[in-house]
Amino acid sequence: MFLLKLAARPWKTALMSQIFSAVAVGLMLMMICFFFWLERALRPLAHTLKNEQVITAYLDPKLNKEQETKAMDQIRVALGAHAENVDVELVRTDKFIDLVKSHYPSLGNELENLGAEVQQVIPKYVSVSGVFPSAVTEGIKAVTGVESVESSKDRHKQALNAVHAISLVAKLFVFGLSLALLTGVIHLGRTNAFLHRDSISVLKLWGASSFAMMLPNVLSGLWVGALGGLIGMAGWLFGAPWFVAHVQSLSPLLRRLPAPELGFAAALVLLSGIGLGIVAGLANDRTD
Amino acid sequence: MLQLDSVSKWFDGQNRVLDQISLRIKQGEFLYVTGGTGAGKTTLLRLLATEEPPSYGGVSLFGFPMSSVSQAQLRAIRLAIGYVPQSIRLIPDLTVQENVALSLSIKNGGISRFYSAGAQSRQKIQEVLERLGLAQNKNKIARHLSGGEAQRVAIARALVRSPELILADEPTGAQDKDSTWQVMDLFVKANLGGATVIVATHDREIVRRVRKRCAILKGGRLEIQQGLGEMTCFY
Ligand SMILES: Nc1ncnc2c1ncn2[C@@H]1O[C@H](COP(=O)(O)OP(=O)(O)O)[C@@H](O)[C@H]1O
Ligand SMILES: [Mg+2]
Repeated sequence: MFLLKLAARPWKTALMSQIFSAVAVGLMLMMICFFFWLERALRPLAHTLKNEQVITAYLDPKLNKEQETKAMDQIRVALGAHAENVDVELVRTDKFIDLVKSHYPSLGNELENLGAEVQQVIPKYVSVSGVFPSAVTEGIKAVTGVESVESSKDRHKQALNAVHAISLVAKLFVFGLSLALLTGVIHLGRTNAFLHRDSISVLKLWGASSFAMMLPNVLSGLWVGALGGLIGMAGWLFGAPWFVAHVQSLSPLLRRLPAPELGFAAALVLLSGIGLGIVAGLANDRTD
Repeated sequence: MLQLDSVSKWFDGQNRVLDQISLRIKQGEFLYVTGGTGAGKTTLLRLLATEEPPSYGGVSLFGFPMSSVSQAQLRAIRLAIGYVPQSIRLIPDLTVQENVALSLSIKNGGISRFYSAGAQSRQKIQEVLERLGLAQNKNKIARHLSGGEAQRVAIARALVRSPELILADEPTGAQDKDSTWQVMDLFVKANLGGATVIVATHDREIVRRVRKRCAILKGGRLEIQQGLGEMTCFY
């Protein structure tokens, strides 16, 4: 196993730089993984924020029960198949007064005292909340029995802009960290190749194949990569759920962030670590 | 099998170390290359070992002109050479035995398969180490060897692959009297076994005692003597 012995040379002569490199590889992989997850996780959130709205459709107060039900059905049809998280609710006068009463009891009592007149003051309306395409508003307007429609679209505009900004920064981080990682690993490979240089020149003179000459440095790099990958994997498996849970508790909006796919991501981190190690190993200085 | 055509070698800006040297060596020959220190013996052997290209002229080994060999041919040529560099160049983290085994395993094409020496190879390694008085040191790390021991390991490393061409650069430079004759005896035996041997040395005693054809390097020029170990071998 003298190839392994040759490969171990950087670990003997420059142990600390191998270990620190592996730790750096692990941490950077973990960070890349996190920013990658963040960017991916924010996409559905942005979609929801962009399209979530509450539509209030005011009904003709003269509609009877049957007509109300018909109008409700038509509104549901108008929402179409692409609607998500839909909640359609008919709010009649009595229900509205109950609603008001629960928050402002005296105002509720005053309204109740209006008697039959209240039907004129307080409209009958259908509240539709959910995520749907913008054309839906027009569709609801066209339903018979609907007098007017109000939409709360764009109420999340600021949050949406924030999400877009964070996504962009996350993308930049993924790119920047990957670049830094790759460059660092190539430099490590070059430094290690320098440590292997004398053995390689001997192997060359003895007529070794280029594969055999590459192997010691590839193995040295592989160990750094595998160790870094393991560190990154462990960090991700233990760190991600903890971190994500805290982020989610920050705001009701963030609670909708999907949980990371731990196993898959961890395997990816480990494999990238090993891949980077091999890249380091291939970064020989070609003096031939 | 080995041919130099008006080969010159110079290092940036300096005078020519080798100046238009032409030389032809047949298979099975034994040749001394003599000359004072700095005469260019090492430079000549490095050219023959394919470690350096000539600045001018053609080198051809085993019938292949070096200027136009393919990578695969170059490897095959290197596999057929046993080179003892003046600078020794053992791999310091490997043991004596491993250094020798590595050379043999490359020759056997085994290094890419994580070679572990087969019984036959192990016996061969043991034999060479014994002949060079290294058997009791075989598990010593190369870094910890004395100069003379390291040089004998370098010789063992070259001989173990039964090379067709042996290039030995001052192979007895660090040896005492007894081991000098032991080493020379091995080269002569290899030569009798069919190997072409070129020994560079500035040791007159060797040339006088082990009489072979010799070539003298002087002022970058090469004079080839026809007699065997004559006084004319001396520079
Ligand atoms: N790589 C090199 N760069 C510059 N000069 C060199 C180099 N190698 C050898 N020389 C010079 O070439 C001359 C011959 O050296 P060398 O071949 O080692 O002589 P010898 O082996 O006969 O003692 C010396 O003057 C030496 O300084
Ligand atoms: Mg010399």
